[in-house]
Amino acid sequence: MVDTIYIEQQVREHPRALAVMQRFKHARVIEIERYSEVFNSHGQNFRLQKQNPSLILAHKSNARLHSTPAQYETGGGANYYFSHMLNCLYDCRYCFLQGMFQSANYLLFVNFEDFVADIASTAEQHGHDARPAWFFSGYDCDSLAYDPVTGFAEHFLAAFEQLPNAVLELRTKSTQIRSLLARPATPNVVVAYSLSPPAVASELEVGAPGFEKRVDAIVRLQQHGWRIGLRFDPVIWHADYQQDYAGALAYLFERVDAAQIDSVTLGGFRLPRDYYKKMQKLYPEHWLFAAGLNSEASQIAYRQTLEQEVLGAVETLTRQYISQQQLYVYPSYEAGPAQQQGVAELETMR
Amino acid sequence: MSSMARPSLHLVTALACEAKPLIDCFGLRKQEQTDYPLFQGQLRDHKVSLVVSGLGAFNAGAASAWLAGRESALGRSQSAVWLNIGVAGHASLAPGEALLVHACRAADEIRSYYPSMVAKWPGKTAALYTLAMPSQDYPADAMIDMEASGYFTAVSRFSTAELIQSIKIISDNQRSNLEKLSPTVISDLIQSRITELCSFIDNLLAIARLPQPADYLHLISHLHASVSHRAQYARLIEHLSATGGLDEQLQQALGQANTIAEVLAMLRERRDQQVPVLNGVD
Ligand code: SF4
Repeated sequence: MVDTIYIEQQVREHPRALAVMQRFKHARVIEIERYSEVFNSHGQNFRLQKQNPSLILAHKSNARLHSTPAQYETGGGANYYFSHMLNCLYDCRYCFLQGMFQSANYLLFVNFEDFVADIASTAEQHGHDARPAWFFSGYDCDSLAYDPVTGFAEHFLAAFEQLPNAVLELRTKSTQIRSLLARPATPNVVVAYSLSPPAVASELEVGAPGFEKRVDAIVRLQQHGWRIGLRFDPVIWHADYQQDYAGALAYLFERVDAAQIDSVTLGGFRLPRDYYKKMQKLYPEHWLFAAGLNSEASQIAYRQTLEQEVLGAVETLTRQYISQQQLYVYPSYEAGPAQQQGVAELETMR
Repeated sequence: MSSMARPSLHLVTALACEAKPLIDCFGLRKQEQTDYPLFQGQLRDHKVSLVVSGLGAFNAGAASAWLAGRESALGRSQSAVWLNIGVAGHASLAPGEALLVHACRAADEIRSYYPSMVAKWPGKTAALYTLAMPSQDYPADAMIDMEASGYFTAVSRFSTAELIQSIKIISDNQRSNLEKLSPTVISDLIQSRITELCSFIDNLLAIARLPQPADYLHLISHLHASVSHRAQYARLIEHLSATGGLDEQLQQALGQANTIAEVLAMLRERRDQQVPVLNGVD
């Protein structure tokens, strides 16, 4: 439950802001000029703030749409991502948001209409492309976790119905799927579920629905006709990882129709250096930021041989259920030998 | 292994009469020969320090910085909780009301400071303007005082926004007479809110627990080690401590090593053998 709402003066009368405030009638409301005064100010501690995040309601005036890093392409066409919200209800220990933002407060941009207008005009620019342009949601938040508060899905799904040459990918771990089940499936929308075996999920994905609950949600969405993506990213190395991933995949594919799965992606645990430094400082006692990592790659990642072993093993397991065409594997390393200096660098990194 | 730090509590008041109920409540003792009046004691396992800054934002900032520097020199500043307690004016609120400051701005500045609202405070909150002079020209929507902006500016260099807070007790409004504000009246106003203040302090201390890095430097105290060696050692120890690889046997072996290079090699070897085991608890 949110007990403090910061609101930019300019969205004070915005219907979506009013609706959100109506939901949190007992919250104290603090008026601010710009969200950056609160969200970006220095000297905040993400870990402490995560104990009781506030909600910031704001207007996103520019840079609403970004190109995705070239590597991350499941659709084959032009790829963009957008974030109607920064930060997440859940608290995954590996989440890069902890390293990216000063603040753990939830920042919700209420001007959905402007996001949709940007998406529509960008989709139009790609109107003659051979493949549709993809628009990813859920990089900087979970797409659906806050949906009952924001009404995000309803607004954006309706918009994408009018954009046949665009695809929306909703990245989520949430079981808040009521708004998706309440309408016919939209063919140009993919619901991409982030999954980890139950033992990993319960230890590292704090506050997120458990593995089985997510699988239930996937089954219901698939039965309803929604396109489904599956994301094992990051794959987490640990003592029993092969058994754990084998068990999770078996459980999953006993229930979902593998042939109807849009794509499955696998990625190692990796972080940009600056984010890693910050996260390790926040959780110096956590094994996740120590186990098997080094800085041989352009970012902090598992040692190359270890990552190859782990991703290789999980890829082999996944291929029992999924065709090569459905599977995308994202290693952290360019092809080539590991550089030893990376190990020493990680030891002295502060 | 890393452990959770026991945060210390730093209280800042402008006046001795504002401090008195807090000194009594926590049983603080005056410290001798200090640059600012300083009172110290213990609240359970938290060290408590109270500094009386004198009037004005500059004094509030200087006294706070002085306290932070002093405690840091003693190795006790990590994750300290800071609370400024004092009286303030407001156009309409009744004397005696206690409000948590949710935004603070010096009268001559454009930017506000927003304390992070993580610790539970069931009462009202309000913005606060810090003025250079006493005034009875009350803004419509905020409290006024003479210290908080200096306090926030200084302390934000030493702790994190979630742990730097200010609570003001309303002492005067448009209908009251400032001249009637005697030290006794001010002490009584603070005293009347001591329960809420203590409960907020408990909430702040409860959220302030941050891990302390593992410290095993004593194991290599017999060895010559450069700054870079020590940094590598500390990092490897932190890694092994996190992954549970720092057992008795290894610690004994480290204590018997002849060179720092030997120590680092042992730690690296152990690090590379460690495989994380999930325990189902975060
Ligand atoms: S669900 Fe995604 S966005 Fe949310 S905390 Fe986990 S990794 Fe981060």
